[in-house]
Formats: sequence, C-alpha cells, structure tokens
Amino acid sequence: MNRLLAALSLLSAAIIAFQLALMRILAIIQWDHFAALCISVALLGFGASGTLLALWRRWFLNHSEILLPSLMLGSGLSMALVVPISQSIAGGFDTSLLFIDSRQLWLLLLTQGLLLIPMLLGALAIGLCFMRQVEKIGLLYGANLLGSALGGPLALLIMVGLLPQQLPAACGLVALLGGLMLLDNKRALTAGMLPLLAILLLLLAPPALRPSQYKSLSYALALPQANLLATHPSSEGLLQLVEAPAMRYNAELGLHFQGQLPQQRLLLVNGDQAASLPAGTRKELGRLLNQTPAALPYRLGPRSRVLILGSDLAGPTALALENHAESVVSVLPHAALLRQLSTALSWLDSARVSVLHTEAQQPRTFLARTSQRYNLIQLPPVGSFGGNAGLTALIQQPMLTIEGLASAWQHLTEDGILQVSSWLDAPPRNPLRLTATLVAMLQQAGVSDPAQHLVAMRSWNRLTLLVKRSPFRASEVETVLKFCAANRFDPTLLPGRSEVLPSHYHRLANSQLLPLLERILAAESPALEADYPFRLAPPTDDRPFFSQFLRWQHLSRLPELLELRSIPFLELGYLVLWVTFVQLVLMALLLILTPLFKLGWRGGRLCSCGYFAGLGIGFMFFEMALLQQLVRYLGHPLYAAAAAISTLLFFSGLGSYWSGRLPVKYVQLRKLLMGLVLLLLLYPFVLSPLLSATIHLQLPSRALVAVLICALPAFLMGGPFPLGLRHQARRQESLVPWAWGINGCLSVVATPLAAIIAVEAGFFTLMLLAALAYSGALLSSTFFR
Amino acid sequence: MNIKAWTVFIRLSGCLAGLLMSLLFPVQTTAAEKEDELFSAFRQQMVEQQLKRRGIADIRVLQVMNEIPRHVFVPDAYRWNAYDDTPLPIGHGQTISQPYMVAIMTELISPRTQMRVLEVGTGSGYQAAVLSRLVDQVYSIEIIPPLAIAARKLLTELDYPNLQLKQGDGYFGWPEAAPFDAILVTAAAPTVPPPLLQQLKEGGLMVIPVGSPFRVQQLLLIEKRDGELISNSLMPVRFVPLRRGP
Repeated sequence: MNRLLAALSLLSAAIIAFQLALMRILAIIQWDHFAALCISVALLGFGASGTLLALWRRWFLNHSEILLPSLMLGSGLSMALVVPISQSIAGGFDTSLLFIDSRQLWLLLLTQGLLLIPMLLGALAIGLCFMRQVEKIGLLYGANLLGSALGGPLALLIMVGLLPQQLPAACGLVALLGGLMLLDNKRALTAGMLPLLAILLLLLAPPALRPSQYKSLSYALALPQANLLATHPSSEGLLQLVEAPAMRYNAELGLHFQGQLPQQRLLLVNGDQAASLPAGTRKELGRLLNQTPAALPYRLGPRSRVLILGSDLAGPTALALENHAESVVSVLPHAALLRQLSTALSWLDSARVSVLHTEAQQPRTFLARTSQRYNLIQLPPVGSFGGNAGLTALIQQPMLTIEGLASAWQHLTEDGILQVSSWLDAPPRNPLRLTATLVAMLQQAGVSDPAQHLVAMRSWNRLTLLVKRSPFRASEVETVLKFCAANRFDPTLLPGRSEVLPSHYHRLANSQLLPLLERILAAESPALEADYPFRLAPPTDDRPFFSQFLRWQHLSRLPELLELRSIPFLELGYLVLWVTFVQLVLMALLLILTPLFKLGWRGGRLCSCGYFAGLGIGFMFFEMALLQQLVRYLGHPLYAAAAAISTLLFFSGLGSYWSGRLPVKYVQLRKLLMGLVLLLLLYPFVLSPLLSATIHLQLPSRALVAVLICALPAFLMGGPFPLGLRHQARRQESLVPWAWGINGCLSVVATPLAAIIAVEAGFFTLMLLAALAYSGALLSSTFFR
Repeated sequence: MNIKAWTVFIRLSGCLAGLLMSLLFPVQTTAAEKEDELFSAFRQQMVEQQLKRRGIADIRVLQVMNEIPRHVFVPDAYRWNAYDDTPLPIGHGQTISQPYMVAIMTELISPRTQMRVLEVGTGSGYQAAVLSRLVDQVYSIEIIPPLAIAARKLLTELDYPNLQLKQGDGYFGWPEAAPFDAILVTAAAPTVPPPLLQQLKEGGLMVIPVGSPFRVQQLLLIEKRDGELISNSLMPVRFVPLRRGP
C-alpha cells in the first residue's frame, strides 16, 4: 500500500508540474492565451478517464496489476514526447495564422489531442487506483492531493535549473519513477528501462523549441547580425538578451526630432519583449528623454522622490537622474528581470548604490506597505505591457482600477504628480477608460473639480495624463503650453479650459476622442457608458479587467465599429474565452453522458452528477477567487499563486485523509458540507478586511496568514469528494469512475467559467457562487441518505 | 451578403462560367493559361469587392492593381489565397499586406508620374511593383536578406525597370536618392525614424503604420509643410510588427 501511495503521489506531482511546464513552453513558442486554450482541453483527460473507466470498468479492474504501472509509464513517456512531436508536425501550430491558413485549425486540434495523452493516461492510473480500493479512497485521494501540492514547487524548482525544452522530460521522469515503483518482477522492470532511457535522452539532449515566427524573439533574431547574448531560465520565465545593430530605442519624441535614436538591446521574457536596454550613457539617454512627454512633470517643479511602478526601468530612471532626483524607487513584480537589467546596464547598477532602489513585488502590494510619499509616480503606458484590447484582454491589471490609482494618489506629496499614458486607439477605448478611471478616483478622493487636477497632451501615438495632488496653477499651465510647443505635442486637457483643445501637430481622423473626453470631464461618464459601444466603466478591484472593452449587445457591430480591414485579433480575447468554455462544455457533456448509455439513466444519476459537479465547480471557483486576493497580498504573482494552490491542495489532502476515518453516514457528509458552505459564505465578507489589516506585516508573517486563510476551507473541501465516492460505492460501485469523471470534467469547465463570472460580475460574486456550488452538492447529497 | 460569401459566390460563378465557356467554345488552352484566366477573374473581383466598395477611387491605382499578378508575390502554398481580403505570410515573420492596405497606402500619397517614392519594407515586392507602375522612380529597402534576394529576383524577372531595391536597414532610408516626394513604410514601426523624415521633400507625404508592436497600429499620414511636420491619424490597422526594437 505504501508503494502505491508513493507512486500515486509522484504521478500526481508530475501531472501538475507538467501542466505548469506546458504553460511555460506554450507561452514561449506561442502566447499565454494559446497555452490556456490547449491546457484546458488537455485537462479534460481527467474527465475522459472517468468515461473510459466507467465504460470498461471490468476490463480495467481485471488487468489492473499490469495496467496501473503501464499507464504511469505511458503517462511519463508521453509527457516527454508530446511537445517535440507536436512541434515536428508541419512546423507546429501557429496561432497567428489561424485566421489565414485553414491547416492551422487541424494542427490546433492535433496539438490539443497530443497534449491530452499524458493527462489521460495519468488520470486513468489515478482513477484506477480509486476504483480498485474505494474503501481506502480517503487515503488514496489524500495521496493524490498531497502529490499535486508538491507539483507546483517541483515545477518552480526545475524551471530554475533546466531549459524549457528539458522540462517535459523532467516531469515525465517523475511520473515514470512512480510507474517503476509498482513493477515487481524483473522482466517488467527491464521493460520499464526502455522508456526510462528514452526520457533520459530527451532530458539530456532535448530538441530545441521552435517559437512562432511572429514572436519578438524570432523578429529580433531575423535581423542582420543579431546575437542571442544570454539565456537564463528562471521560475518567472525564460529570460533572453538579444542585440542587433538595427534595433533602436523607441522614445516618444516629437516629429521634429533630428537626432539619431540610440541602439538598444532587448530583454525578452518567454520570447516577448520585457525591457529595453538602450546604448549610450545615462546622461545621453536622460537628455533624449527630456524631449518626451515623460519629462513634463520635471518641468513643472523639482521631483526629488520618484516612484516608477511596473515600468521599463532604464528610461524613467535615466530621466529622473538627469533631472536631479535624489531618490528613485522602481517596483517591478519580476525579480529575475530586475536582476538581469541591473547586470546588463552598468550605469543602472552604479545608480543602484547611491540613488536607485528596486523592489521585486506587485506595485499595489508595495504601495499598501509603504508610508513614503513621492513627488512623482509613474505608471507604464497603458496597452504596452501585459494587457490591451484583443487576446490579452483578460489580464488583471490591479494598478488600473479606481482603488489602484487611489493607492498611488495617496502616496503623492502636496505638489506630487501621477503620470500615466495610453496608446491612442481607434475607436477610442484605452484613453477614455483611463481618463474615466482617473476622474472617478479623484471624485472618490473628495476632489470637487477633477478638471483642475488634470493635464493631458497628445503625441502622434499616445495621450499622456498628469494628475496633480493640488490643483494646477496658472503658471504651471503656461509651462505645459510652452513644453508642448517646444516639443510639438498637442495640449489636450488643461485646467481652466472647459473644452478640449484642438489639434495642431497631430490630427485625429477619428474625431470621437476629443468630444468624448469632454463628456467624461463634464461628469457624463454614466450616460456615455450607456450609449458607447465599448465598456468604459472604471474598473474596480472586484473586476480589475481594464482591457476588457467588449459589450455583448454591440458584438454584431464590431466589424463596422472597428472598420475591420486586417485586424482579426482585435477584441477577440473575451470571445476566445467563451469559445473555450463552449468547447469544454460540449466535450464534458459528451464525456459525462456517454457512460450512461451503458450504465443506465435511472437510479439517482442526476443527484450523483449534481453532487460531484458541485464539488468540482465549487473548488475551482473558490481557488480562483482566493488567488486573486492572495497574489496582491503576498506581492509576488508567481510564488503567491504557487504557494496558495499548493497550500489548498495540501490541506485538502489532509482533509481527504481525515475523511477516511469518518463512517459512511449521510449525517457526517451533511455536517461537513454545511460547515463548508457557511465558511465559504463568510469568506467574501471577512477576507478583504483581514488582508488589508495585515498587509503591513513582513512577508513570512503574511505567508503564515495566507496559509491560515487557505487551511480551513481547504481541509473541509478535501472531505466531500472521497466521502461521496464511498457513498456512491455503497449504492452502486460501478458509478464510481463515472463520478470521478464528472468531477474532473466540471473542474476543467469551471476554470473558464470562473473567468467569465469574474469579468461579468466580479470576484466577490465568484466566491459567493463557490458557496452556492457546494450548496448544490449539499442538496444533491440527500440522495446518499 | 458579406464579402466572404461574395468571394465564394463569385469564385464559384467564375468556375462555372469557365466550365460552361470551355464546353461551348472548346479551344486549345494550356493549364497555365486557364490558371491565369482564373487569377485574372479573382483580381477583378478583388478590385470590385475589396477596393472600390471600400472607397478606393483613384482610377490608376485600381487599374494597376487589376493588372499586377499578386499571386506571383505570395508563397506557392498561399497562391490561391492571393486575392483574399487578408494579409498572407511570406516567411521570416513577414507578410504581404492585405490588398486594401496596399491600395489605401498608395492612394494616400496621390501618386503621379513624376514622383520619386521610397518604400521601406519590400517584403515580397508587391507594393513596390504597384508603385513602379504609377510613379517615375521607386526605391525599396528590405532588411531581411533572404527576402531582399527573393524580391530582387522576382522583380527583375517581371521587369520593373524604374524600381531599385537594396538590402539594408530602412531606418536610414536611402540618402543617395533623397529627397523623396513620398515615403511608404509598409511594416509597423514603434516610432517614426528621424532620417526618413529628413529625406522627405518639402510638401512630401509619408504613410507609416505606428503603434504598440504586436497590437493594432494607427496608420499615420505625415505631411511636411514649411519645414513643419504634421501627423494625421487615419485608421487602425494591423501590420506585421517589424524590425525596429519596440
């Protein structure tokens, strides 16, 4: 039994680690949204395993001695093989060509099918373990969850030491070891050596990954004399440094600029640009940037204390130092990137000794924990980093909410300025929502006339907004006008002018932007929100999706609104999520209903289905809602997510183990579920105040608080599934694998559904719905009475 | 009926008409000739449905795009998609622009026979070929060596004598041939290169898609008047984001 538990834990850890490794690899060769699309389908392997086990239960049980290790070996071997195979077929899928090349659809389906294999084989092994010994399900499910809890840390560990292409083989090796542990006789062990050798070969000499030709890395390396200077695997992503003589620093200079733009090296994370490393001295860069909109706050007065949040480090730091800042703090939630930046730019490293201080954490977390005030707080341009209309529309942007901007506002000195810019899009969305959010923030902060605190100007590509803690003075407005004239920018919003200023240097063909800005300033945002075809309502912490502009009622007008010419990806991010969800629902229905043709449709099937579906949905909803809060609380997105998920799984494992000691009585199940529902109903109301009250604590203390927050609900959530399976086995044992499949299917379907609910109704509602899902399970459980 | 449906309808009609004609009037035509006839029908349909309908009004632009065989500028795998309403991949992360984009960018510079035009981003050479039929001299620069070689070979075969092509960094423009009446940048740029603006003649026009790389860009029309540069933001476009560091 111990060997089986150990093997089960190893396999479970390998599956979770493989899932995370796949996310990394698919993000490198394609993009994050593609990774999510593929993996969600691959995870349906868990649902499919239940279907297969239910349909051929007897056969699986009769051959379980040989099948169990074989499935584990197969899962391990396929983990190592599927990525190289999918890349080698017709060059692999390329998401950029999906709307152009019809073959890509087949390649997408093939890729999804290949990725399903290791999940399916692994899930079959786990399901078979459960099916063989239902009476010990508490122990077995506990081992499964504890193993899964180890998967996250295991993945983070191997991501530091190995190249991305080695990760699948490393995960496969762990799963394979589990399988080898279950082999008894010498012959079988010898046979098991073959996949072991294959995996070791793929671990030591893996085929190189082939990123899409449309990734930043591919573009950069296609340039003449391009060099890949360094590659650093890290748990936060694959960092690569590229240089090419043709790459130049992109400064937002006026069109009259006559000089040369400096060359630059690029720092990429997972094949996408993360930071620029301009050539030349700090002084040269600072002087160049003094002609950009970012320099305006320095023309309005001395800025001794500067805070740069989540932005490209080099440019804003050089500008601050050139303008005699005495202290510059840069906050970026990416420790490895910060390290690389500091080592790659020598002047940045030397500035770090005297003036520059860097913090690797979430800007919101930093602001919540510091009492320091700043003369200037700079945010990165909206639409340039992580999140813009299109496929990244579902990225949470906690700084671009009313609360997020308010947290920056509260850290400004009396003459302090908050600066943020937005790419000009058409039809206008980003600049309008940004302005509306700033105005809403000012109104909530008690500012009676927000227009007195706002200045905006336009270059050929961006709208730059300055929000001053105290009202702008007339002399400052004059300075703004002079600065704009000297650098060929168009002043757009100025205090004391009720109307938006006309364009001089940069005319907009789409004349909507300026009148719409006027309406926002005139406090007409609610009316505008009602009749504008895109969402412009200011995002809040509960719904922090700044770049989600799509409104269903105007979906059919999108082609007309966007003057659709060659923009297949625009505004499709949210639709892709819906497509994923619908695809998963259909597949889940197929997987759940198919066994019933054999098992029959009567005898409380609906209640069983409701029970196990409720558990799957409830767990995922709670996990996702909790993660959103804990990431901001702990400050490091990746580690916080990994720690929270592992903690949830670990305590769920303990809960499962504990449930094995409970008698199979309905009253026990009911008590457990009622307690859980009450707790989950309480959480949405107490969690936020609790986290706010303790965010000032040091990281170890906050980590302890986070563990305590996770522990109790997780412990209770671990019990109902094994208890339910035991009840189910007592009533009709043949339905056990079906129930396992339902839980697997619904856990997968619940993931995109949770994202949809978060977008439409917010995370608070999502957590309440988690309680509702468990209530559904409670109601359905009456069938076990 | 939407454009896609029209495309299918007209293609089918074309095929059926071709079949009917060949039955009624059997003549000795080679497979290549039949293919040319089909492409010619597709081209005409492209001009009617994609260009005229969307407001392209310059007769010369329409005429030239109706004549130049776009399908020879795309990889073999996409030849039958050459006249579709979409950009197409040409390798090395590059694309041949959607027909409408080629037309609108050409129309925006108001091409005249005595003009000297610089194109940055030759790609497969289609835009340069269109321009060369409309203006006096075309200079085209491509940074990716294999694309520059392939485009030069193709354009030489097709005989465009007033077109000069070089492999190099388009950021620097073509100072030896400057100043230009118009400059077309046919790949998304994160910024407007100062050397290109300097090589623009007084009264000249530059068309350039600028914006956040890997996102949707703005098509800018930049005018040089009395030494001052005025930008006009025209429309959102999605070009293959290229070349300059973002």
